[in-house]
Amino acid sequence: MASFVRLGSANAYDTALSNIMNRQSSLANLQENLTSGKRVVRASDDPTGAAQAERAITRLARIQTDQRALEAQRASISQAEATLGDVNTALQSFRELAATAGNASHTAQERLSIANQLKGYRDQIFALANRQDTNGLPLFSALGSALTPFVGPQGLPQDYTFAGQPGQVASNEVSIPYTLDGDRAFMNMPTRDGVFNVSLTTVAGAPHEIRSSGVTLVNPLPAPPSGLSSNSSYAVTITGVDTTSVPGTTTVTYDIAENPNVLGPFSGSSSYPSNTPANFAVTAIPGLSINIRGAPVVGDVLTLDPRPSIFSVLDDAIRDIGNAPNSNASMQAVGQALHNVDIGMSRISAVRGQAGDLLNRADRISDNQDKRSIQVEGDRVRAEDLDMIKGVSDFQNQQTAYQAALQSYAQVQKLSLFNFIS
Amino acid sequence: MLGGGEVSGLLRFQNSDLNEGRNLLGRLTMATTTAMNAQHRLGLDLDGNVGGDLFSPITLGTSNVFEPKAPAALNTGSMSGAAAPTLSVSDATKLVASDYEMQFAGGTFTITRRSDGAVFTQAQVPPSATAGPDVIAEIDGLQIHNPLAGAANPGDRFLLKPFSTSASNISSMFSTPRALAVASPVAATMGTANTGSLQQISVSARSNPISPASLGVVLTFTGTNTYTRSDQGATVFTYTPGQAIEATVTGPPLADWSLTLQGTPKVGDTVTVNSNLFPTLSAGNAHAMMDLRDVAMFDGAALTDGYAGLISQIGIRTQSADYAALVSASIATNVERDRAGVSGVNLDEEAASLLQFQQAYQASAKMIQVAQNIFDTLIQNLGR
Repeated sequence: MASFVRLGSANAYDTALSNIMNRQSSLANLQENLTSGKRVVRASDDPTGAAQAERAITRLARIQTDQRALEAQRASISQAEATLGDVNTALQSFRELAATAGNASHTAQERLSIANQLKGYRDQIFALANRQDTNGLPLFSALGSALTPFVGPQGLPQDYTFAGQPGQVASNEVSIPYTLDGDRAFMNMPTRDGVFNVSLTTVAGAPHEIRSSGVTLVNPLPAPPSGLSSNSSYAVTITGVDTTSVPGTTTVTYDIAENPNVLGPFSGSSSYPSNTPANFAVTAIPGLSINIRGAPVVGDVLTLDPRPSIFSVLDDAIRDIGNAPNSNASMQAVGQALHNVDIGMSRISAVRGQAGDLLNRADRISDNQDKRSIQVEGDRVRAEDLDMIKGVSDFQNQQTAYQAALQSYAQVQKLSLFNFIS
Repeated sequence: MLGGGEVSGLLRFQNSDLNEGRNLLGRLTMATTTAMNAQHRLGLDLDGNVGGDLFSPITLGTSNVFEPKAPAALNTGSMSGAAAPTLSVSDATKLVASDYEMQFAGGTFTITRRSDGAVFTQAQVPPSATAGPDVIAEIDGLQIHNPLAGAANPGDRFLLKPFSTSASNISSMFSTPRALAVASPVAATMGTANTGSLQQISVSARSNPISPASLGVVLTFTGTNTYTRSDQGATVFTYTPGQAIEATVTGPPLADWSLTLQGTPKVGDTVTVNSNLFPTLSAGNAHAMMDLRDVAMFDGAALTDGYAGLISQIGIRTQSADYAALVSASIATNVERDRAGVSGVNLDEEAASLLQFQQAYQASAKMIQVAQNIFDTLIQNLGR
C-alpha cells in the first residue's frame, strides 16, 4: 500500500462499499444472535458447540422419557403397595373375626353367620389381588400374566392358580418394575411355607377332645429326594392308645398315609404322662412336625392338606368354621386359620416391604435424574447460548463501527477536486 | 485440474461436500432403519403374529452401483449391465459414510474408500464361502455380491454409492397400532420354590420364531455362581449377575433368546425360559427397541448421538468453506486494487490533468493573443 499510492477511484469506492456491507452483515448476525439468544445459530458458527448442544438436547429428551416411564412405574408400584396394605387390613379383620368363632359357647347357627361374614372378606381379598392399575394392567403380574392373574377356585389339588410367570423384574439405574410378584405374595409352596390345613375326622361318639397345632417345617429341610413331597397330603390315623403297658404313661401309635404316595407310608408312636392331656409331636413325616393335643381315640384321623394359596386358606377357614359339627372342630378350624393366615400375612408383608424399597428407589432415581437434567441443561447452555451482556456489548461496538464507516464514507465521497475548480 | 474459481468451487461442492452430506444422512437412515426393523421383527404384534418391518426396508439396487458411461472407456468383462455387482448391508453398526470405487486389475479387486482413500484388495474368487456363495468382498459392514457370477476384465471399474438413496426413500410401513410388535415372544419363569434373590433384568429374542428346541430350557442353579441347563446335560456353566445367558452356547451367531439375571441364587433355584404365554400384556420388545439407543452404531458413537456427529461434520465443512471464501475474497480484493491502481481512473488525477490542460490551453491562447497584438501594432506602425 505504502509503495503503491495510485488509487482507482471507482475501486476505492467499491472497497469502501464492500467493507460497509461486511459491517452491515456482521451487525445483522449479531442482531440474530441477540434476538434468538443463541451463540450458535448455524452449525457452521461453532461445529463442536453445535454437536455438544445437540448431544445435550438428546440427553435431556432421554431423561424426560425415562422420567415419564418412572412416574408410571411409581404410580403402579405405589398402588400395588397400597393394595397389599388393604389386603393386610382385610386379613387382619378376617383373623379377628375368625378368632371370635373359636368361642366354645357359639352354636352351629352362630358359626354359620360368622362364616358368611368371613366370605365377604375373602371376596374382597381376592378382588384386591386381581386389581389393575390405571392402564388396566394387573398390579401383581410378576414376569407376565393374564389380565386376571389369580384364577379359582378350581378342583383340587391346585384350587387356586396363578395364571402368570412367577418372578420379579429387576430395577436398573433409571427405572423400577411396573409390577410385583403376585405368586410370591399370595401363593404358597409346601416346601417353602409349610401351609397345611389339618382337619379332623373323629370317631363317632368319642369325646371329641383332640386338636392339633399348625404344621411347622423342620429347619433345615431334609435334602431331596427324602424331603417333603410337594402337593402330597398326609393322613395321620391313631391306631392304638396304650395306657396299661407302662403304668402312668400313655403311648399313642399312629400310621401315616401319603397321598399321592412318594415316600410313605410312615408310622410312629409317642408317649405322655397319663395324668395330663395328650400333647405330643408327630415327626414321622420327613420335613414336617405337628403337635397333637387332647384325648386321642383309636380311629381318629388328622388330614394334612397342602394349601396352594392364601385364598385356599381363607376358603378352608370359612368351610371348616361354617360346617363345624361341634365346638372342638370349630376350635381346630380357627387354630388352623390363625396359623395359616399368619404365614400368609408374613409373605404379603415381605412383598409389601419390597414395594416400599422400590418406591424409595424411585425417589432416589427421580432426584438423581433431576440433578442430571440440570447439569445437562447447563452443558447445553454453555455450548450454544449467548452470554447476553457480551452480546449486547458486541452489538453496541459493531453499531458504532458501522456508523463510523457510513459517516467516513459519506465524507470521503464528498471530497473531489471538481468541487474546487468550477 | 481446476485450481480455483467458481466452476471449481461448484464441482468441489457437488463432488465432496454435497456427497458427504448425503452419505451421512443416508447412513443415519440406513443404520437406524436396519436396526429398528431387525428388532421389530423379533417381536409379536397384538394379534400374536411375528412383527414385520417398521420402516421401508433398505434396498440397494442399480441406482447404487455405477459403471463408466461413454465417452469414457466402458467395462469389458461379463460382470456388467444386468450382471453388475450388487450391494447389501451385513452389519449396520460398521457402516462408514462414504462412496467406494472398485477397480479390477491383475486378478484382484481394489476397493478404495473415497472419504479417506483407504484401500482394500480382494482376489476375484473369495477365499471363504461362509459369508454367502456370491459375496466377492465385505468391507465396512457392506457386502458386494456377484449374483450372476460375472467375471471382470482388467481395467473394469465400478462406483458404489450405497448411501445415495436411503435417506430419500424412507417411510413408515404401517399406520395401525395393531401391527406394532412390542411383545416379546419369549419369557422367563422363576421357580415358585426359589429361595434366592434372583431377579430378571431382561429377556429378549435373538430370532423369531424361536426354534422349539430352545424353548422350555430350565436353568437349575447348583451354587451361587454355577448352573446347569436342561438342554446341555450335566455341563456346569458359570453364572455372572448382569451378564447375558444366551440360548446359543457355542458363540456367534447368536439365536433364539438371551436372558439377563441379577441377584444371588440358592442351590436348587430354577429359571425356565419359554415362549411368552401372555403376549398381549407384554412390552418386552418395546423395551429391547428402546435399548437400541445405547448401541454403538455410528463409528462407535451411540445411535442417539449419530445426528450430533452428523451436524458437526457438516458444520465443519461449512465453516471451512467460509474460511476459504474469506481468503479468496481478500486475494481478489488485493489483486483488483492493484489492477485498478494501474488501469483505473482516479478522479482527482483527472481533474488535475484537466486543470493542467485547460491552463496550457489558456496559456497558448494568451500567447497567440499577445503575438497578434504585437503583429497588429507592427502593421499599424508600418502603414503610417
